[in-house]
Amino acid sequence: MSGVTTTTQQRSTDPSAALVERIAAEALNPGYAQRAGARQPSGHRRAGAVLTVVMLALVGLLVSVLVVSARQGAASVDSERSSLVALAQEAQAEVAASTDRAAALEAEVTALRADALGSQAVGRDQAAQIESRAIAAGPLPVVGPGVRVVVNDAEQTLDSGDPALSRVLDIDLQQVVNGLWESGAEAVDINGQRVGALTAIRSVQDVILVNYNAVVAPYVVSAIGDPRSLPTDFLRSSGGAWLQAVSLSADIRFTIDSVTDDIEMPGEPAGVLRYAVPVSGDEEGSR
Amino acid sequence: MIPVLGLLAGIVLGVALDVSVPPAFEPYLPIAVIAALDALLGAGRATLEGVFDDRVFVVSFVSNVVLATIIVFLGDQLGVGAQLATAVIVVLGIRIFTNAAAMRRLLLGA
Repeated sequence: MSGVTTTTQQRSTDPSAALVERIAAEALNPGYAQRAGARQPSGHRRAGAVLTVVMLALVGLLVSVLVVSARQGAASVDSERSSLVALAQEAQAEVAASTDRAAALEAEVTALRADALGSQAVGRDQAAQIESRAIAAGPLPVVGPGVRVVVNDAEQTLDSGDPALSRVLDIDLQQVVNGLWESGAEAVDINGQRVGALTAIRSVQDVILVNYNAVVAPYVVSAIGDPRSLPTDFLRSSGGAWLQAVSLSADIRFTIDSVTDDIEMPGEPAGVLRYAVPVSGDEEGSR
Repeated sequence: MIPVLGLLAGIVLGVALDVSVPPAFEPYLPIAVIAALDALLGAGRATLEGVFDDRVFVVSFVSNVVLATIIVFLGDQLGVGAQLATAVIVVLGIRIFTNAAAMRRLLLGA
């Protein structure tokens, strides 16, 4: 090799470069040079040549097998990904179709019930009862006058104490909602999230979830009820007392306004009942 | 000429036969191929320098492939498989480049 003299000079200065140079210097198997002197011209020459060809074929085989398998691996990863994407899209479409179907069936049920119950006086009573229960339970969208309670975090965190306490907590909203029910509200909603029979109001980290949807300050708690009596009844209720207490202790801001215009509320998102089933007609009759 | 034909035959066979690698051997196939390429380039350079010897080639080829695979396999068992594979690839890579450069000088004179 031509670079042998420079190699010896670098060897003393930089060990890693010396290592590389040594590997490069012995790149050609030294066995070739050794055997070159003591060449046996005859004997197993033929066998050696055949073995050489076999080995070369093996090299080619190894290389092509590696290339083929590497390509197949990449292709299978690709196809796996795309099939997963397709599965997810399929499932999404199925969910959308099922939701549409559920809405259509629910409309059908409502229409059939109206048909069945509307013909007789008793039936009409029952229909009205069902509707009022549905409103109270939360699944039906409603409008009506009422009261609007706006609760907001303190403007400044208190110098002393936990900064988390100067924010509105889930218990504050729970107390407000309970106070509103207590003072005669017929339907309650927080920032567009209807509070129904299965609604939970709770914090996860620093975020308040209503119906498992995050709501942020300012929290507008609307209630449908008598717009004249509801505000004063609420102030006197446990919810009103709670709000006054936290506004004194933690500077939580709140306003209470009666609303004579219609407040629109969406229905509560349909919860999934896993354990509760309707009582069947037979069991009801036997009691 | 015949050795080159053997190489081509191996490539064609590998593509045509659709050989499936056993999963246990799959991680070591790239290392084996690099080792085989090293032996191949060494043989090519030796041929050009007129010192080629089939016994040396066969022995270096087999020992290269087997040794590289065993080293990486052992490394895997000891939890340093990736590092040892890198070491083997660096060493063999330097040798492959050096031999390729030597062949280039011999063939093209540059």
